[in-house]
Amino acid sequence: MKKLIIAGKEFNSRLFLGTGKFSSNQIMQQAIEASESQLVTVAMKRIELNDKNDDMLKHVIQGGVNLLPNTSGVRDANEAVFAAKMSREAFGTSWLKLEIHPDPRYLLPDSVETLKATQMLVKEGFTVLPYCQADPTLCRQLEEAGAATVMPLAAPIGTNKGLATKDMLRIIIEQANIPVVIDAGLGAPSHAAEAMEMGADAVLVNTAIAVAGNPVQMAKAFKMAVEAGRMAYESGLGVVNYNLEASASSPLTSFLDA
Amino acid sequence: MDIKVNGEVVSLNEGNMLSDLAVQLNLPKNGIAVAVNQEMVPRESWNGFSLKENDEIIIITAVCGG
Repeated sequence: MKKLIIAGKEFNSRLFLGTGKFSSNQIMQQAIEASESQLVTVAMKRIELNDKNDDMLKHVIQGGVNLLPNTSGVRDANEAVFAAKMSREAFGTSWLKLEIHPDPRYLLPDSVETLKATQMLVKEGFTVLPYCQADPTLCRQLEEAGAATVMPLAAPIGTNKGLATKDMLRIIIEQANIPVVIDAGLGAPSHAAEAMEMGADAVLVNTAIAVAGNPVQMAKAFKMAVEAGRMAYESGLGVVNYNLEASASSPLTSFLDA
Repeated sequence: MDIKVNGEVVSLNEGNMLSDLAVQLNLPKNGIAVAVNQEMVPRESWNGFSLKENDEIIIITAVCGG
């Protein structure tokens, strides 16, 4: 399989992982290992004074894993820039999953602020991976603004609905000159495989793995699905025949005839 | 001198530098960032950064998230 390159950095894995909702840091760590992911998201919170909790970062940063801090919690572009500077200082990376979703009910990204923040952050030297609506026009604008990828949603965060925005994602993939990472809403390995078969460059999965009955095994299932989907895409899928007639795959010679 | 750290009032025991606060709070060596009145202050500047009464300090760290 071809290697994925984002902002000059090579990835062997096309599966990115979110770290939310795992039942423990230990399970999360095992799931990251099983997924073989090399790009893993973290969020930020205010430190609790005198809190001696287990440091989650040490469970994330293992061999070959890069951090992708997100800006979850910010409501507009200015807050995103502030969060980005805090993130770069805390985690020593200028990579950023830009996410601005002021509405807590649907968690849908604010396109206007996301585009504005991308323009500002690129000027500040950040490598910006914006979580965004599956809007082909917006994705072109984000690309023009200097985004390293676009990360359109398949369905709202945590819904497991799969590729609800499929037709728009196809247009985005066709138009993009930067990697397209399908983020949010992928609920099953088959969804991830289909996204990869469509030509997505990578997928970002969190809830479907973290809340599975066996998250570690599910992480492996997603890894295999992503690889299968990508391999199929690179192999060239057959054209779908929408008329009702079959097309024989065995010779129709009548070898039983006398 | 009283300042606010993540919304809680904290009295600085000794000195008035950001580095004094870091010592007092026993802040970890990495994985955190500090802002004073909404401006991020890089760790290498903590030594010479003096705090004033009622300054609002935000200290962030990593948490699980997607």
